Amino acid sequence: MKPQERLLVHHINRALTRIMGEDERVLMIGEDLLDPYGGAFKVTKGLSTQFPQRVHTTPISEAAIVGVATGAALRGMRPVCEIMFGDFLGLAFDQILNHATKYPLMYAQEVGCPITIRTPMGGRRGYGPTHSQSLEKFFVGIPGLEVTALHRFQPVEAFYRRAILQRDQPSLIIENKIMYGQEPLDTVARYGDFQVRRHGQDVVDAELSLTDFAHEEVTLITYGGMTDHCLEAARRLLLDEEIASNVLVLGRLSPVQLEATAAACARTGRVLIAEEGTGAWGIGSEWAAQLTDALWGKLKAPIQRVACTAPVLPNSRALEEQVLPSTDTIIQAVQTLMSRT
Amino acid sequence: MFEVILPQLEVNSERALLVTWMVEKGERIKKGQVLAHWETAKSVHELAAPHAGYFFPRVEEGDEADFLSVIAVISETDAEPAPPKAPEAKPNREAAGNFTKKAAALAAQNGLSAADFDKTGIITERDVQSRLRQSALPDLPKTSSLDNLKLPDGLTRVLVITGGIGAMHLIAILRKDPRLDLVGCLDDDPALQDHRLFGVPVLGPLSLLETFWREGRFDQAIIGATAVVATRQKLWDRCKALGIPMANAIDPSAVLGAGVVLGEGNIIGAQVHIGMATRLGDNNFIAAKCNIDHHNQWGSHILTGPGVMSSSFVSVADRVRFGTGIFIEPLVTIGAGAVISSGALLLGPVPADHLVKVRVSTETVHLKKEG
Repeated sequence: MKPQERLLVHHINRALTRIMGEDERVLMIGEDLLDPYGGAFKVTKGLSTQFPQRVHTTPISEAAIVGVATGAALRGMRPVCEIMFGDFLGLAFDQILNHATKYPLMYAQEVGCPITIRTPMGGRRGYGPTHSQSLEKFFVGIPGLEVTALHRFQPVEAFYRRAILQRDQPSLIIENKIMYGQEPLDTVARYGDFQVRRHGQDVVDAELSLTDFAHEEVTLITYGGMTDHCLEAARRLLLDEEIASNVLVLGRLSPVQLEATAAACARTGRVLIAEEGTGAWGIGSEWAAQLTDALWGKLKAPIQRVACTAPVLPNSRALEEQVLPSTDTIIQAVQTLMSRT
Repeated sequence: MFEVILPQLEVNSERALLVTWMVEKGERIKKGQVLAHWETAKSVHELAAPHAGYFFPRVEEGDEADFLSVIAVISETDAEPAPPKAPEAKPNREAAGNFTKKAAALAAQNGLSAADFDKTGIITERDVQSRLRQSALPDLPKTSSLDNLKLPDGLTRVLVITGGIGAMHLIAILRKDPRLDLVGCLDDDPALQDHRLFGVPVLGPLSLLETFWREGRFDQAIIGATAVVATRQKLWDRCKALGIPMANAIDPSAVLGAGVVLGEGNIIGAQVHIGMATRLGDNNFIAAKCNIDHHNQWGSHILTGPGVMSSSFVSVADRVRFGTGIFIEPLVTIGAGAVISSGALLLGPVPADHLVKVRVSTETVHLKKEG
């Protein structure tokens, strides 16, 4: 296997290739998807060669991409939209809010609208203020939209197959730019010193522990691109301060389904939620509210959240690192949790 | 030999894909000649030879290379240069033992290394404690408790140092032992002079200690002060400077398990239980009804209130002060000089010179009489 074939981007590409090969209703719609370019992050590379009638490159209009896909979905197709950068998703907001998600809701689910929107989010690449954001929090509040975030412990093909072929409502899939260049860990039972277990089917939550899932004092909850930072924080907290934690990497952001998460949090009574986007009205806000309800009487300290601290992301990689949540900020928040107990 | 570095072809990528080499391995090339086509996310770049010479690739077509890495060498001769040495393996954490900081300290203290642990992941303090617990079991101390009481044959003359409430407590224990002759007490409090504590006279101020010892008026001493750790330790140091042997005062109702080792100068109150293989240092005051369970390691100059319940494998360093009614979980370690408030439940370690506070919520309300 060539080195690049081990990377997550290749696994997504292979999953999409298989799904397109299986079902002729599946279309790809987005900007610059055609070979030899194959999309800005090469996720769709080779698809236009293999399925020339079903991969459509479009003018620069995200509203058109999602609008056309919605129409095709209403007519029985199963379109997959690629939004080149998640930052451009705002241009499709009205199509998602007032059209794609509305049809199944207005017609009591008798009308399906099975579109899948995939888009890369996240910073740490020096792409600047409008190509580095994590904007999923603006979409998790849309009724009828399922928002999931790919993570490295998630079996890739099942994840895309479910959204594209098995659901009849719109799905938004958040991919992380850094993660494209990492290797998937979708079947591992160990990752370094961590033990890995998985909860759920198709969309998987991963739970990781350095101490055999026992004696943990803190639960770190995250998704997508913040995973490695949480794991490194957990490792350092144990090595330096003997604070054991379990790390939960959630696959589904919305609708919120936190029963398994709450059970894992109940073991520790101390919860930290890490997200890369800005914190106010963030993913962690809703999760914290629902977990507080589920864990009332079992929490030893108020739930802590770490998130991006700047309203706009700098171009400079060094400045970006300072404002995005890091291993250090997670460790500090855990220390706050411990001291408030 | 000249190393060809893949330049930073664009800012948005970290590596590039080698589409094709434009020259053959071993070919003689000119400076400026196109060597390869590299593909990034944005475009395909031509790479020109930075030097003339014989070309030898280090990357194969279809592979990716990181920007600023070596992708080929240009040699002065057509002989293929030796491949680069593999980078030296970094020292393996696993091999060195993947201890947490606390675990590393505890393991070093007890002479354990990673090889003593059957574990692949990180070794925590809990793992080391568990290992110590295993190793402690077959290694019971061979001396019995009675061997260590250090009571000489015949009647022993004992001088009690201080004459307050603590001394009364002590005398109440000592007078039950028919082998002891209680010479008297020394105390600086003028109000206590000429008093008798259960028949034992207060003989004068503490300044008489040196004289009495020189004159051979007693064989052993024991310290009655039981309220302040520092006072008890200061008096101890004064006695030891004179080389005075110190007596243990153990209430007959106390139960000492097999293999208990006591130092000297300890006061063990009524109905105290000390479990098997526990070691206790010198000059401690263990009040009534305390339980120091098996395999405990307690230091010296420790004062307890009544009813301190320590479970197995608890370590207590010197000069710790306990209140009353305290429960201690197995394997807990308490650092020197710590103070533990009454009613505490200790689940984890207490660092040296720390106070364990207890929040108590008790309310006293008036009872309304019926009718």
